[in-house]
Amino acid sequence: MTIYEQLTEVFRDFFDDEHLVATPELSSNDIALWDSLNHIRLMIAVEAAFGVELKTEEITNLKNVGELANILENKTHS
Amino acid sequence: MNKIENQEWLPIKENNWRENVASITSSVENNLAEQLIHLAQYRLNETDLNYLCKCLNKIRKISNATLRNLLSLKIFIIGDHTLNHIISSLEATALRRGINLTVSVASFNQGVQAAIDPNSELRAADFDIIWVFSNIHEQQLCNNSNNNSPFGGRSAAKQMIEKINLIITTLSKEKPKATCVLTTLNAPLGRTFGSMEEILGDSKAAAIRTINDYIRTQSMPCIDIEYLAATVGIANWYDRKYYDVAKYPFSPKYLPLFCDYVVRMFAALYGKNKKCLVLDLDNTLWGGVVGDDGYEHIEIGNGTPKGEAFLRLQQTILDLKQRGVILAVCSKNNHQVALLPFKKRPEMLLTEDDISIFISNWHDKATNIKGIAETLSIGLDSIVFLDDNPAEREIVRQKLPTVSVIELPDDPSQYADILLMGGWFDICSFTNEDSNKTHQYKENEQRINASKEHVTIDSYLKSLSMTLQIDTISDKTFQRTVQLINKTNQFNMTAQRYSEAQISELMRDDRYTIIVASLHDKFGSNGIISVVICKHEGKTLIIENWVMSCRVLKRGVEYALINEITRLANTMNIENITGYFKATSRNDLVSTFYNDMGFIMSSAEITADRNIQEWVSIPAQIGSLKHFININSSIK
Repeated sequence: MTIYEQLTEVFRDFFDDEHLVATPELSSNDIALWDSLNHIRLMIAVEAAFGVELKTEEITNLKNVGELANILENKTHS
Repeated sequence: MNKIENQEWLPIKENNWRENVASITSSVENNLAEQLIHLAQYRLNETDLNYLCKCLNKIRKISNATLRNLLSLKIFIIGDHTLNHIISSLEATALRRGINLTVSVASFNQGVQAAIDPNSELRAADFDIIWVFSNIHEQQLCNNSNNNSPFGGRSAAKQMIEKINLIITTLSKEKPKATCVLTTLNAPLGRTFGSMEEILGDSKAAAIRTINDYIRTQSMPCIDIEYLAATVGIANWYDRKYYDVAKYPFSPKYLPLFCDYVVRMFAALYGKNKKCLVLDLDNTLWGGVVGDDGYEHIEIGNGTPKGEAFLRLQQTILDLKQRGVILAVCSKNNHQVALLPFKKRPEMLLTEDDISIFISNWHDKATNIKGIAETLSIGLDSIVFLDDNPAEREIVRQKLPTVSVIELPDDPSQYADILLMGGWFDICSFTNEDSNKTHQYKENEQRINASKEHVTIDSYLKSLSMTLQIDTISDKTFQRTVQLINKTNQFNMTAQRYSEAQISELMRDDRYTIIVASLHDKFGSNGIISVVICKHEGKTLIIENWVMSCRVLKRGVEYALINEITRLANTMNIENITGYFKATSRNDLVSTFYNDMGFIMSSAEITADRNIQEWVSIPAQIGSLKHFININSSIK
């Protein structure tokens, strides 16, 4: 499974929306439920699903899913 | 991940768990409460818990009445950290214990204000439980140096104790009906003084110990988070990143475990903790199969690693039994063969006498467990089942969704820890009655056998030589009284629950008489078995609630008590006695009680989901009801 497919699964479960697709451009502006409180919880779900730890900065400064996928790519390959 | 943070005592969820959760919201059925309890039994992560809570919220909107088989509790959490993220997980986890929990929290950093501000949400509404989730971060502990306390520990402890004290004294005055629950604090991870830390009175670790000593000696229910954090390790428990980013009090990894741990206390407070442990035999209590290997060859006792593992489990079970948990055996075996290890293997710690009910036959285990519940007169939701065989566990989970079935790993060395870590039998108080339970249930079995030998019920009841001791509530009987009121589901006229605080209030109120009855017979003492809460109002005596333990059903105790209440009413010049019946899912047993006692229905409100009846009797006209119990009453 690619990182985007895995992220799609996490996002669908988290936002309870079967039609969500994780694309590089997707960001908190596109999903009403993606507020600051849910952002933290979403990052926790991502950490658990990928078995990685994000750094404080990576959580607070995240722009979109593309950036998240890059971070995960680097962490899962090293 | 170790067995604790992984909650290995819970089964891994089925692949279609999410679909199953979704489907119950689309077809609201009668056994919906049971299904919710069942779906909450699995090992769920935060996303799962949020999803389950979302469905619960949907059901609450569509048809709140379908949730009435669950115990409804409203709780307010006072704490200084971010707590919003725990609400949905806590509400979903509560379903695991049959509780429909509604959680409100104090806003960030508003803990004390919530308690002392008369206009706060906490002060404005009614709550069953107020949980003071005191938490202090290391930063708060160390940055207040003054001359008397150069490292800040002493003054930090003093301030924290004053704060907790202010909260609990305000709440006991302003919110007397709510039960206040406290929490212990965690030791800090880093140590300025290394191994000297605890010895130095002004250190952070010493401060936490002082605060925890204070909390543990308040005689209030206390959730021991210090212990929980220690079991997973405080290095894991603290998550600096999520504290900095969102002021989470502990690592989000432990949210599901934390919620389970907390909900156990709420369950215990309202008598929802488990009462009976049903045990398999082969490869659960000993290694090997007695029917195949022979009793000489099963592994139990010191000498082999496996034998020691099973010994440890038996000791753990024995400890639970000493504490009042009822033990039963449910094994697929020939009865005589199943008993051999108990009779012939001296290494066995558990004896036949420790087991209240011993069932070994070839029927399916679900049917047998149902039989055990009936014999003991307890609900299926009071039973925990321990079996090494996954197939047996599965069939019991499917057929009896409210029985708690412990998941076991393959290695018996883990059994003892897993049994305790689930916290099924956790308690919030301990009375001597509890440790006598097994004894009482065993006596009950003898009584049932005695009833088979006697031809008529009258001669059987006579042969029991029963004495009923009737008193008003006292400090000595206080705890057991509150426990009985809150644990009894079947013989409970109104299902009205009372907290310790409420009962204390009634004890001070002249209008109330709380009658406490204990029964003794030729097999021994049954302890306190019935409580009647009476209110004196002018010429009327109102029976606000009446509960009786099912252990003594059909023994005439209710007749004896009605006679006693009538006698009291006559001495007080009462003109009529009023009793209430409020139907719940579990008190059908007493639906015709007042009618049977000769009362006349004076009003009733019966709709699809409500059934409240008022019954009246005139004491001057009541004759004495027939029973075979000697009465010993200290009430004038």
